[in-house]
Amino acid sequence: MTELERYIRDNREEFDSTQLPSDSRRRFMEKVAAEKRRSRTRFISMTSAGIAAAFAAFAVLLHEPDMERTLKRHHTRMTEKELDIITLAEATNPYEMDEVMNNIRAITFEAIPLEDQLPDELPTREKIQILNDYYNQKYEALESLLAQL
Amino acid sequence: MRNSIDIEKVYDTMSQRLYNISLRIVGNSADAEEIMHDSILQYWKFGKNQDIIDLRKWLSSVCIRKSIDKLRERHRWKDFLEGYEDPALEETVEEDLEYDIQTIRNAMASLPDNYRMVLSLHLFEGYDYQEISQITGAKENTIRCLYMRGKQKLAAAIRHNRS
Repeated sequence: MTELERYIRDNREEFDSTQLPSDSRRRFMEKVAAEKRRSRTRFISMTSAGIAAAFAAFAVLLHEPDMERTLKRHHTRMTEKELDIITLAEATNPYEMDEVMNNIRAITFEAIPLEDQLPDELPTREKIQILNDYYNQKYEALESLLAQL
Repeated sequence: MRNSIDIEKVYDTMSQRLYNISLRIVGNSADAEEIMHDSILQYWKFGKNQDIIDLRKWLSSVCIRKSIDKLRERHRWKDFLEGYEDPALEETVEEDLEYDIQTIRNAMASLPDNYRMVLSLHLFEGYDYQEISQITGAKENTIRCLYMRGKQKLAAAIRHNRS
């Protein structure tokens, strides 16, 4: 180790003594406030959508189960979870995106969709139950991937 | 649930360190401040989802990556890091230079972005050549050569500032 390297190592903390620009804290808190406002707007939108979805789900319960609606719900939820993972990965680990995308594909890829493999004679309720169990496993795997980021 | 009191505490504890880390890499105050703000905001938005054992290390790592991204925006990255391989490069023989914080700081600030980035990561943040190579995408030998040349330039700048 050279003298320069030793000096920097021994006085490392001193090199962080440059003061922040004036009003930096105020600018930061303004960004925090702006982010809170965005979050509240998103929350209100999601809550309204959630209430509407709850009514729709209640209406569905009164009727025969619908394969198309089930599949659409699962595909939407999978897409949302994939986006959460990609957003977080881009923010925290942008240089490992290839690995993250490969992991997502390994979880979500289907050469032949499960719904096409189920026998026609199986009752719709049973098909939907099988699909729900199948997709719940995928959601757990995606949640696990999200937690690792 | 995000807690604004927590984030103020994180800001008060970490902001100066993160600002200085970024300032050494990006070389200007406005960019360094923005990167410091974004790093702490990122913890506020996403940190609760992660199992962060060492917050100081996590925030420093995020700040460093964002600072390098800022340099990527400024430069053609391939040219920024390539063409510096020099197998004949030898360790600088340092004459009797006297060091002080401000002189080294000024000398670092005077360096071109690529040398300053590699020196910051190796000398100040303790990253080895392999780690710097992984973060930047450059070959390890390139990083080593940039570091050796950067140290020569730093020593020259310190000598110049002293005279």
